[in-house]
Amino acid sequence: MKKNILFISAAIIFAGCSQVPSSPLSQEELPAIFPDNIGITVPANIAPANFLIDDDADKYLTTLQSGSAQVRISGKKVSIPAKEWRQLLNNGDITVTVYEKKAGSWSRLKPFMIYVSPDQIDNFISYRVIPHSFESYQRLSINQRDLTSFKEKVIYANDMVMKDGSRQCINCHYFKDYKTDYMQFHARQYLGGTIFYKNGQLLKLNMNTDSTLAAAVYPSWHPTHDYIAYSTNKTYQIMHTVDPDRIEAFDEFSDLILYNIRDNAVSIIENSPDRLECHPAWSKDGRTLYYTSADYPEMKSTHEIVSHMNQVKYNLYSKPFDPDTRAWGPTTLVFDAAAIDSSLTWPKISPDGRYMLCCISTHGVFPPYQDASDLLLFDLEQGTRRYTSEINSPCAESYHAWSSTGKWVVLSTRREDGIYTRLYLAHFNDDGTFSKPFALPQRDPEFNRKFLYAFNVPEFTIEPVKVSARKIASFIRGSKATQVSFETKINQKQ
Amino acid sequence: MNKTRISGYIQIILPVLFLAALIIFSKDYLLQVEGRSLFLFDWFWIKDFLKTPAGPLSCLSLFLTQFLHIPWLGALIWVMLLTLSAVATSRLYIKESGYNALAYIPSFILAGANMSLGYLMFIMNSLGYFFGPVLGYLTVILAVTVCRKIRTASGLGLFTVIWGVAGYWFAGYYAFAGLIAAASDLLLSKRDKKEKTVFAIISVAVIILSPLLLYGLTTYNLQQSWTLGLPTALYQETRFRTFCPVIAATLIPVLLPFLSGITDRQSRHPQLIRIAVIVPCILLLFLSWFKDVNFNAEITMIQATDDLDWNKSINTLHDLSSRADKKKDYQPTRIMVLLKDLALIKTGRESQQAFAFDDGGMKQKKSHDIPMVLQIGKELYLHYGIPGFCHRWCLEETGEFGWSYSRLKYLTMASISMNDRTVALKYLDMLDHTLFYRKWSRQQRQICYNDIQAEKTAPYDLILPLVCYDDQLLEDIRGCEYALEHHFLETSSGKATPLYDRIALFWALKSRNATAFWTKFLLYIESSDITKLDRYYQEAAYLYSHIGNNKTLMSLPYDSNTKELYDSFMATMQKYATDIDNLNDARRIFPVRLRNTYYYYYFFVRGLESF
Repeated sequence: MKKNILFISAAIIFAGCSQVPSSPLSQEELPAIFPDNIGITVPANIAPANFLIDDDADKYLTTLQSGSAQVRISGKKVSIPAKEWRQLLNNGDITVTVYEKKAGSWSRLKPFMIYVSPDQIDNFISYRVIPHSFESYQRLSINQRDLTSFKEKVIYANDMVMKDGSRQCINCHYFKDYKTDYMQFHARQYLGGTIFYKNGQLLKLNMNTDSTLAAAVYPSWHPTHDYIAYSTNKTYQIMHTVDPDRIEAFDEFSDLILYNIRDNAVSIIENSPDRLECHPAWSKDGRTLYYTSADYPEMKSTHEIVSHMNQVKYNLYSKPFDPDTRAWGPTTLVFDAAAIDSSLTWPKISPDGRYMLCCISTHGVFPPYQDASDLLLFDLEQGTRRYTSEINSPCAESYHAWSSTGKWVVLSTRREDGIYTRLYLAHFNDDGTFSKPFALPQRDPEFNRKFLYAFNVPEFTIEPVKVSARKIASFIRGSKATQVSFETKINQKQ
Repeated sequence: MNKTRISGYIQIILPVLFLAALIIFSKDYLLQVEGRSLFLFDWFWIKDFLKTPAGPLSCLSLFLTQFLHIPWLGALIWVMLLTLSAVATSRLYIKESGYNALAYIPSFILAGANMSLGYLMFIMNSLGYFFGPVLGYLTVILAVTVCRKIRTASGLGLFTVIWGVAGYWFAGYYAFAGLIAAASDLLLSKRDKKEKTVFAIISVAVIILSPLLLYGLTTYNLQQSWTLGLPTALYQETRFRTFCPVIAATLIPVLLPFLSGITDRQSRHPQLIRIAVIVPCILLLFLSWFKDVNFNAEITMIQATDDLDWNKSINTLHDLSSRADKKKDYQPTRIMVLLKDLALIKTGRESQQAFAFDDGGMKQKKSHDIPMVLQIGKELYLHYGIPGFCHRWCLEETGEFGWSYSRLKYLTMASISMNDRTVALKYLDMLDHTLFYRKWSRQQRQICYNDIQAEKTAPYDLILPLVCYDDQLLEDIRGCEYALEHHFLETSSGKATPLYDRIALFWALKSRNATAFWTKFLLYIESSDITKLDRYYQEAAYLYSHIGNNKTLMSLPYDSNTKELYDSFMATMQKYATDIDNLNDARRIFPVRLRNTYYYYYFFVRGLESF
């Protein structure tokens, strides 16, 4: 109690002794705020969910009340001091009341709640920061954000090694089991290769072999053994003339490969000539590989694919796998998305193995550019599925990831302005529903409106990355890619 | 006339003449420089510059660049800064006024550096490159000035360390150039040996260590650490071209102390010295100034397109063609031809005048590959009703060269044309924070919320009718001219507007494809309410009916002039058939009357390389 009294005093002092208006006019409407934090559920260890009051008034006062803890903040930007925010979170759900002074009189807008979940979120999230262009780019970086604060650091940025005129794309960073002892990402073009970090050691690999289609692309780290399933894709882009989706990214060819880390060798998982396979995802026990695949028997050229773009629909398949013998079983169709005129991509299985969250869109393999892309949740135990309307928006929802506890997901969405992908976090409830998602908190609540880079490929980790950006850059600059070998032996259980 | 007065006259006359030349000859160039820059009165945006070495200098430079929106004002500020540089150099280094002219050399070099960029201006990727060098030069002078004021070794040491860090943060390379200039000044002065030693050692240390410190603490690339702040373009090979003049200018303060034995003494022939310095400098500036007529015409036409001043665009090419008529090998560039065609279409005159201009594909006088799409892609795609591509190229350009007023404007217009109002508002929010574009932003905001107003307001009144087709997937890897032709010839629309059919017919004419012509011709006839065919449509129909030997089409009611020109053209062609190898030969042989026909275009304007 004593502690709380001290805290309240401190909070009031901090807020410049702003007094709550004595007899404000009560309004029935909720305040317009950005980002939309009204009714969101946040984890008890998240950074302050700052927001902007998106309304013109002469003065503003916001109170945040949680139990006996109260914070008052004056001004249009509601930036909550970290210490006081932590106190609020510790006390449970937060009631937020916004007061506005217009034409000399104060009014109190309808209070709203920020619900606090006792489920902690993983402390770190890593993502790619990328300018919104299609082919040209200068700086790309993979950054790591501490979710308990606003601290962000660069894991690696391409301009650390680029010489003028050179180009390097970086993508598909991935961690094993939410820890950072094992990490990988791809560097393309200049000084390119797949960069591995393994227990303090860096490696650069050339995963393109004579017997595979191209370099490795989308990864899924095996949960128990030293394998990574990858798709290998030949991807192209083509632009819309007038559609607000603006671009189509598509695979002309794609297969699935398995990288055996110990032997430094790849083998084929699926390379059917009349199918496009992509987006591998291991089941919890590592004995089943889920992946997506589209049928395209009559489309043998880029031109044909382009002219039949809307007909390329990816279904969800699974394939049994024995991690000890590396033997694959027969393929099973899990979900026929094409039958409902849709395309399913990026399956991600919850850590408990029960749920699978996927993107579903009208066609193709690359949903970030499709406004129609939404998230679809499979309950693998019950054999049911549903559109997660509580976290979907009219704009594109794309890359998503489960937290290590399975209690939170991060999703990439363009809901704010239709063009810049932003990261939102949502609580996954025990009944298989999500709470209202909230924007990744930023120190400046206007950040998402003004930041002219997009975020993508968010991945949770429970610990910070253990290798410095400088070390990675020096390694990339100074090392040649080691060629992986190709294993011809394929075990197929029939 | 005493020496001081002459110096004073020089200080006034030279800048005034230079300013006049800028306003008269390079107004549109200055506007294009401004259009390719951006300064936002927004702390969030400014803050980013403060995080990077040389960022504050870039930010300040961008702040000044915005005044080029009023060319005389921006030019005046620039010229005043150049003059200030010369005066400050003179005050600092030249004791005898007869040698004052030497102090003008850096300003001439810096002026020449900016005015000689030519086509590189399309690919400059260092923000604030226009004002940056002169501001950087003043930073150099400031370093020397402060060093002279400090009288103790410890003071000098402290200053050097602070300057090495804070100056480097502010101005990058220029801070180090300032230390080198100050070292040169100090070492050749009569100051205490200890002071000189301390300064020299600490200077070397901070020049080496500051970038290394930055490298160690951040994710900066060491390779660029010592050159941060210098103007750069897209390609590495241009570094020599963009760095050299600026480095040369900043070396002058390093060299001037070595000349103090001369410049401190009274000159016997001050006028001669002035002439010996100023005349070569003027000559240097004149020669380095990029005066290519096609480049200047292109810049004017691009600016006219940006301003929707279609007549200016047409007149620019018309005037140039008239003047160049006596030069037998003159050809415009593809960009000029395309912008002229666009302007004619927008004014509804393409079917009467499109082929009455010199056509051609003169290669641009550029040292590096700069695709057309990076020069006028966004303009062409927007005004031809392919807003998705306009939007795309604005973002591609932004990815390479940074945000700019011009790109934000085109992004807004493309988004409105795609009916993607939320995205348009995003860009308008940015333009709201500018000094000279907030009014435009307010107007566009009104249009954003009002479809009917959009349909009646320029440029949308002539763009939206072209966005009348089902969305297509298109690529422009072969260049935007080819992509436009492909779009208009291959895209069919059941909801085509008369304007769309008219432009499709025009591109069919340009393609010289008889099948495409007749297809588009019929669509045009169906959708328009014309009573009489315009000149070039008649000529094309008459020509293609003869090529196809189609008697029915030959007997359409053509004007007598159409037939007479055809007969004359064919007669001339037969007469000189063996003498004509290329477009220049044809241009020499055919009189203007016949050159201005579609027949001439069909037979001779071929194989022109678009890019």
